[in-house]
Amino acid sequence: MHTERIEYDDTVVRRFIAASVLFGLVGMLVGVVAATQLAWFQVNLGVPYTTFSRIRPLHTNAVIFAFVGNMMFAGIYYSMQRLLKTRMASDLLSRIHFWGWQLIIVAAAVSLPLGITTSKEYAELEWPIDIAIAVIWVVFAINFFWTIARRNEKHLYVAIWFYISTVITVAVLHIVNSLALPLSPLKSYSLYSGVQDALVQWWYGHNAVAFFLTTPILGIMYYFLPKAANRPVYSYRLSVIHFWALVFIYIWAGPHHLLNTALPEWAQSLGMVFSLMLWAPSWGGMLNGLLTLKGAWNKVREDPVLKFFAAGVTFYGMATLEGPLLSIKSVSALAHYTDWIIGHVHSGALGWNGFMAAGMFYWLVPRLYGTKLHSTRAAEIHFWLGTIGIILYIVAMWVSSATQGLMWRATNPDGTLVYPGWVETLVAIRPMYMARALGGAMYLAGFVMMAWNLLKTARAGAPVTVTVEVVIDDAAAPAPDAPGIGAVLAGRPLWFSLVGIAAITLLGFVRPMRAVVVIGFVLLLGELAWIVSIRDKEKGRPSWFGIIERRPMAFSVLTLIAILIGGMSELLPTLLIKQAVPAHSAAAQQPYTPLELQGRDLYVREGCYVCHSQMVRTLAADTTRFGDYSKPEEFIYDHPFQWGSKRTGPDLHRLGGRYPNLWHYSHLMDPRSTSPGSNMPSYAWLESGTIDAPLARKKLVLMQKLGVPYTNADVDGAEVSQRRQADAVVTDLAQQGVTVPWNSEMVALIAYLQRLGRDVGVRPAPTSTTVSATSPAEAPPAAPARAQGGI
Amino acid sequence: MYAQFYAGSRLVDLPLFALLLFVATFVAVLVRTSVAKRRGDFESVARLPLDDGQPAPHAPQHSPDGRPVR
Repeated sequence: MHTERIEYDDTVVRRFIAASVLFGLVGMLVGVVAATQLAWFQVNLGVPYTTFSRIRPLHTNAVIFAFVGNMMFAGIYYSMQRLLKTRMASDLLSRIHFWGWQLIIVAAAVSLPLGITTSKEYAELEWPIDIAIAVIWVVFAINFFWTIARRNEKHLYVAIWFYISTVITVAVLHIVNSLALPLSPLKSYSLYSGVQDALVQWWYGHNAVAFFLTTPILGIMYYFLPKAANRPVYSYRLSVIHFWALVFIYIWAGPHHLLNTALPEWAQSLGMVFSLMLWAPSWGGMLNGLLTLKGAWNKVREDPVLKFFAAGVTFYGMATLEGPLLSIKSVSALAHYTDWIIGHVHSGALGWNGFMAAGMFYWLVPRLYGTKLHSTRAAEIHFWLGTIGIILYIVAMWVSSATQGLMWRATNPDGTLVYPGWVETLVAIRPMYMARALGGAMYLAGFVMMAWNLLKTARAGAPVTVTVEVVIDDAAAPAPDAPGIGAVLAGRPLWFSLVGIAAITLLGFVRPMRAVVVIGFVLLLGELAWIVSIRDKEKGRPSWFGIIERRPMAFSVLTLIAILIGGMSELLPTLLIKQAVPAHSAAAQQPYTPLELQGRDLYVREGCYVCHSQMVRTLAADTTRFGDYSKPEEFIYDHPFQWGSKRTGPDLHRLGGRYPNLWHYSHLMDPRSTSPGSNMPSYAWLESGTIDAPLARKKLVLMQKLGVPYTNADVDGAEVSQRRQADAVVTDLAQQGVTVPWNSEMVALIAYLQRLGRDVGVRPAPTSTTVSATSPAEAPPAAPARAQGGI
Repeated sequence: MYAQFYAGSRLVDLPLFALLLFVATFVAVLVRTSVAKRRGDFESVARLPLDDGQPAPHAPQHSPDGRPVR
């Protein structure tokens, strides 16, 4: 036992806080602008770079990775140094991490409005930025684990566990989901296609929420909430259970984003069941956080820090109650693709992440600058503005969602749709979009007040370098004769758990009577584990918990195993299955033509997937409105998939052949000319933009490498084929008095839209003379006969 | 036989059983963590955030260039 002077590196903490507040302001402002465009489409000012479909990814990336990311790093750097009683291992790595991360954010802020995107939600950044993210994350991980290795505290507090799970899992998620082949320095195609791509993407997307927006913030909660309340966490035992249950279960829940789609049923069911199970650890954590305030509720009334923490944890509880509810297939049938999902996400992002960030900043900044908070009153006003803003936002989204879900599925006694026109729903929910923009603006106003308050606080003080004397336990590192990694792997709890999981898995395959035996076996196993643990305790043997919680490497490996079990179980069967559809036959799904491929890239660039799905679900409401439900084989050449996650506009998977080329031209130039009341912005710039014609050949070559069965003749004739198909569209438009050059982006996008959903290959696009531009009911044979919905 | 078993049961039986089992496990864990007294090893670890060597707020400190903090 001896004392040691430690000077913490809080400079990096101050920098991350400043970056978080700055990018939080930008991200939320972009969010308010985007929300406003849903009510008043003209707010984009007719500029491509400020249009909803391009700035929505900018908003999500800025809030998730810039605002929450920087806040999370600030919390981690501050708390881990104190919990481990050591300075960060390398100031240089801390600096590289900080500046590298900010550079990535700037690259995202520039590239996304330019339409440089992969279209995979929350992973839109193109491959050079993806590589930079991986490199900077590794820099962070090295510094993180190096600091743990140099620690002066033998125990690893539970917050550190949550941080470890974040560092490991985010790396796995990012690398697996970002695998792609580059076409150029700014364009790549996902290695996966269709159903596989969808599953990998939502395994990533859901767990980005889990391991970027949840686990690190839980670690921050377990550190800062006890600090602010000046009392230890309510139940450390519960925090241990919370951690393992959350980490193991969360990773399975991704498929709940794809319920009732072309994803295999077994994967959907797994996603739903594990999402429901997730309710328990989430609420265990919430209760643990709130009960930590037991006996300190009087402080909550006066202390804005505790007020934000208490409300933040409560919003965590509400969001994690709502999430499993939305993951039930029948609820999802009503709520998916509607605004409920948007409301749910924002109760988590604004309530949980935003309020935890505010609480942490209000607690940290005065301490980092050696002064008092400039205005407690302003912090109070921030709290109420934020709270009322969130409630206004999510209630508006609930009402909007119920309206959408019920109007979309409403049918007359004869089976026809009550509201066949999509715009009818859009007009009905417009007041909710206005309310949502107001709620968001109120939240932003509160955030601006916080930025001002923190700035005044920082200016009133000066950066503090904290030097402390800590008592070091010389037994921090495990003694040579202490139980080693073997004891960790041979630990009885580990094996009891594994055998228990295997036995429970068996339940899905055995007959009822044997299932009873299996259940009995599991109960006996639990009883045996209980007895063994009591005996071990009586004999004074070290508990498995005691062994593992001091061994970060073993701990990290077990965390990795916990997340890989779920990930592998869901991804591998889907990724390894041989594509069931023949690549070469008359009935086979045909690859896109070169012009359609060019058009598809424009569809991705403009972010059409942000408002339109390409997935007719196996639900009567969907098939009645859009046509035959989508089949898995129809997407096998879709690198990346374009199923979308929200329907502000209608589904487009059966759009091909439904309207003439002129309709598409008119719709893209002025959506209200074909769909009065629509809130879709004009994409008139497509008419003057031109495609890179020679690139068609290169695209086919790359697609060949990805397994799309283009022949060499297809590749050699790519440019000729492209021109021929474009000429057909141009000629058809010219007959209607519209003149566009053959290499116009408009022509390529129309060619792609006319191809959508024609699962038995390319059919001639309808011409203006075969289909009336205003009569969706007179769809050509390629369109599903039963579809009743119009745009 | 098992086909008959399922045919004779209402579809809601199994989910209800699973739900009961699930809630019972959750409540059992919650009760145990709430009722059980804190063990010594847990208590010392739980107090780590409160014992990180951080000086009391507003204690005299210095800025990186050595100036006293206002």
